[in-house]
Amino acid sequence: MPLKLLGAVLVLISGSATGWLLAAKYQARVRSLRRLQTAVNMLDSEIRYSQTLLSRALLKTAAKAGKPAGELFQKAGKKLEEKRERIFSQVWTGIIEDQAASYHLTREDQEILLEWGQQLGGTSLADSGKVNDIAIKRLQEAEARARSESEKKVKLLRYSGVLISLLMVILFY
Amino acid sequence: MINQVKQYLPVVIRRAVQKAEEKIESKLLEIRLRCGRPLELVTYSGSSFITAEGEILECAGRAPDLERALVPDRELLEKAVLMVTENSPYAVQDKLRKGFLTLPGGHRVGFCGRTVLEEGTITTIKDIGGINYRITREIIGCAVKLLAKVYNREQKKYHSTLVVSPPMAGKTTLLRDLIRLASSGCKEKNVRGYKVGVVDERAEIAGVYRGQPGNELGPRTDVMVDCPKAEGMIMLIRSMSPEIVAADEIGSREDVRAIKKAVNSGVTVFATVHGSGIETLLAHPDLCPLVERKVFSRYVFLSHQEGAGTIESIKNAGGEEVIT
Repeated sequence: MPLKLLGAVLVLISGSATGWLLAAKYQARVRSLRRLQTAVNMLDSEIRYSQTLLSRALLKTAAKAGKPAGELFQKAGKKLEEKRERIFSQVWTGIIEDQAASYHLTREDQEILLEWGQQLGGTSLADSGKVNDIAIKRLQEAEARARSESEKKVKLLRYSGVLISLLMVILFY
Repeated sequence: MINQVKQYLPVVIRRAVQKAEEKIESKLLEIRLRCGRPLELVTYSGSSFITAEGEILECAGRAPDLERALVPDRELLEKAVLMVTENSPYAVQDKLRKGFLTLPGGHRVGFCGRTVLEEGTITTIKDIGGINYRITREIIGCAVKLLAKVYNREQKKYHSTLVVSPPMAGKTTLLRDLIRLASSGCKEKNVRGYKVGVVDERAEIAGVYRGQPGNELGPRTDVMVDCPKAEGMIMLIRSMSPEIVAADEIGSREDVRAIKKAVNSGVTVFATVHGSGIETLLAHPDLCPLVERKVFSRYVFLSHQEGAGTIESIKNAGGEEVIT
């Protein structure tokens, strides 16, 4: 009897945890998109007001920005500093394609970042500002969509996890 | 020095230039990239086109085999622009507007393309179709032979000296070494070191990169980088109390005014200007007063006669040859 009870508790905990974990991905995407906006904004200030070289601007921003932007910018900045022939758009594309999924960014989010990276490295001061503004706007829109999706799915997944595991307990008890 | 420039060449071009360089006897002066046209290497002895393998295609008296030449395309030029601007054209926009920027070591990269105008003023250059990497050579000691003629032993001070030469004849190299010499002093010739202020408007003299001078300018030299010459000279005189101020390629009315002010303040001026003789200076409406009022007491004329840096003559304020 106590063993059965223990099993039921374990099923309940693991089922609920699965629900919570799946829900957490939606929340992480929202958080990542928000932090990316802040980071692009900080980078824009470095470019617009200090006219810092891109590699240094990326590293400076990386030191202040949280995950994922901090890590992505850090990698890009380091790669640019290491070899002069590296072009930002190529470096950034490689990093996004390798890393973005691990921050729960969808293909649509990645497209925004890739397009931003394609345009950023080769522009004038005024154009850089516009490129950053557009990226921030698109990230805001993506965040709004991610938030609404998260609001719908987070509760659903959490409840589903608890309820499905409860159903299993009832069925097998 | 040339290795500093090579770092800023796209890999394909760098490899070809490296291989070609071994076969070129004379020193490399320029690497010219033109979109859709053969890459050109300019040396003291002439110019050559090369293949991607670094084979020299054109020599004196031989027709160039341009079909095999290494021809940079738009993509390669765009890559070169991103490399020299370190992926940050926005950070060098002001320099791009003037048509050139400076690499570490004072090497100059010139650009040609479509200028973007705003209210009649050039704001930037886009669609760059030509890039010219001009290699700066630091020749330590090349000014020592001038010392006896540009240093006044009685007054124990240097003469205000204007180095005059056509482009690419070595006037910046000579000025750089004159600055180094004046700043360091010359023990053998019993000349002490002086405080020198340098206005390096194009960052070519000191080759300053990220605040660190790339060229040797002596221990008593203060450098004002990316600063308009006229303003820089006055700023230096006010703030750094130099005994000598130096500037490259003077020419505007403001420069002339600042030089007069400096000389009147008792400061020696070292400067360079494009020209080929006293008459070319007299024909220049802004520079003419400098000659007429004898602001400079020494003129050093350079030419390409026996290679860049050939000293044709050294004259005093009256236009007479200086003999020591």
